[in-house]
Amino acid sequence: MTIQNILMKYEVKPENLLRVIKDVQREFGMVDDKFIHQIAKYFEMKPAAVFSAASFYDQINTKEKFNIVVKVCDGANCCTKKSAKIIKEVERFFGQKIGDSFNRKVIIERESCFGFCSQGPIMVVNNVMYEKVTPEKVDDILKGYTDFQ
Amino acid sequence: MEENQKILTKNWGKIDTKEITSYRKIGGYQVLQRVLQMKSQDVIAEVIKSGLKGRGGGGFPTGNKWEITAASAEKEKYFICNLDESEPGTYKDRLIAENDPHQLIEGIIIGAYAVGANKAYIYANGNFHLAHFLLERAIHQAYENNLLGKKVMGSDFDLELELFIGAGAYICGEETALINSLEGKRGEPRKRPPYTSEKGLFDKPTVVNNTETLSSIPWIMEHGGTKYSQIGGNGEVGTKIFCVDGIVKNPGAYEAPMGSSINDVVYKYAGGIIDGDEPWFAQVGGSAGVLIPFGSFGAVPAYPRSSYVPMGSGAILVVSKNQDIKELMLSWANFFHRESCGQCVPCREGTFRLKNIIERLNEGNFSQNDKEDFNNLIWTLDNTTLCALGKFSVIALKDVVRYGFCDELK
Ligand SMILES: Cc1cc2nc3c(=O)[nH]c(=O)nc-3n(C[C@H](O)[C@H](O)[C@H](O)COP(=O)(O)O)c2cc1C
Ligand code: SF4
Ligand code: FES
Repeated sequence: MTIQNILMKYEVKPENLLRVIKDVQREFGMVDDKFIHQIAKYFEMKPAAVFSAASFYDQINTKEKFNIVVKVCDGANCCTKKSAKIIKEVERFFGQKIGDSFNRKVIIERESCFGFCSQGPIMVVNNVMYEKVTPEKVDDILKGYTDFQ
Repeated sequence: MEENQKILTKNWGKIDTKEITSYRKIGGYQVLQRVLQMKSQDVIAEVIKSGLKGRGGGGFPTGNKWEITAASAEKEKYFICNLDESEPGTYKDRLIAENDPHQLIEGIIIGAYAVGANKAYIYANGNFHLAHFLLERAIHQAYENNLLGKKVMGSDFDLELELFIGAGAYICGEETALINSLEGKRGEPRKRPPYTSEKGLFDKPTVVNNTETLSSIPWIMEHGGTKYSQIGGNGEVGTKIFCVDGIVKNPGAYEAPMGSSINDVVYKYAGGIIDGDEPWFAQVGGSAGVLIPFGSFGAVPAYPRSSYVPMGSGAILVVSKNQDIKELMLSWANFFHRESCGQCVPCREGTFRLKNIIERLNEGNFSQNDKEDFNNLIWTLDNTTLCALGKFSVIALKDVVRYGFCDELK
């Protein structure tokens, strides 16, 4: 799929802008400058306006693409189920802190509630959700991703 | 008061959510047919009679909201179902969409008819993948069955309904931010006035209703507003889904009559407290909710902001005596800082500084200066921000201080 394929699926109307941005994110793992310009041209908008909308949302990445994105739920319910320990475990596994983006391969993020609280703590790796995560399970889950890199 | 009256969850687990025929077999969409033969003001009168209040947290009377938009002379109007649900601890709307998508869609069609809107949207939280799939399919089947599109069920009423999926932002649950997001702008709240009911989506009169609110509508129209108004107690009517979590035996979502106390919900529905543990307090209404000490679990959540337990989203988190309160304070502070849209300075800066202070509190570096700043920031967030998120961000923290839950803040 090219960005043209995505654009052609949508009529030029305001409520389609975020839909296109989301499709690009899903297909390419990020919505960088190059894409922003192409989208802007299609919707006859200023690139700054497209960037301003795209960069607003947690699920849209306007920077570089990471191979592994780990999101640990930091909502209050998961917090009472010891999500802080999960975060520590993930940090230990990769040898990097939450939010660090120096290695360009992996990023660990704190996320707001995913709405699956009774199954918490919740961890999401590259869009796959893991429920009732314990510190002991973290290694196994993450190895499934690093082994392919 | 009938304990087991189920309205929102009555079909859960009993129908095939992928097939419209399954919902129709149990009588689904029959009441819509009747509604389409009624005058729209009579539909609104019935909803007013029911006493239904908005379940999005504000508790605005639904019928009165519809009446305002219905009265507008503007031809083009919009109807929006708010399924952005991202209050921590709350997932009732997701479950409604997953377990009975057609009851929701029937409610949306009735609402749009009542106010005279020919275009409706469901704005869904970006994380609710199963709900997206089921709603897309349900909308498609509704079109095929002439429940949407031109001349709905042979009437003179046309309605288009589209699913719109968000991209992760708590603030987009706020109705004016939601509208900006739908319009392809940053999801930042708008200044009011003008109100959404006059100038909402694309500057046209717009109704925004919560998912749970709209799912209550088909039952109200089938059984009558009077019957609905007789369910409940303690000044609130109807039923409500409570999401109960924390140290309870059976965490989950339960439909209970309005007027139920925290104790009722925790013990009658969620199986009581886990053996060997002891509650410290409950947080009611999500992270934007108040804290209620264990000794007061007999209190009843209700909609007025002034109530001892404001209902908010209806989430109940029962927190253990063993909880590290500073960790929980950091979770709240991180949440509101992350979700502040950044549009106004007191909220953008205030939530950031509050988070930093609570980080220091967790690291054991909390100074006397921090304590003063903490109290000043709480006042600022409580009183000077553009939208309610600022206020929300300090509700629980104020209760931590009030009840002396954190030694350093005493
Ligand atoms: C910060 C903030 C977040 C909100 N989030 C939601 C939400 O996720 N879902 C919702 O229905 N209402 C939410 N609301 C309330 C909406 O603005 C609006 O009042 C509601 O959708 C109206 O529906 P109702 O009248 O049926 O309650 C939020 C309000 C604020 C201030
Ligand atoms: S109070 Fe916060 S969330 Fe609301 S408009 Fe201001 S910055 Fe945005
Ligand atoms: S608090 Fe973690 S999923 Fe809700």
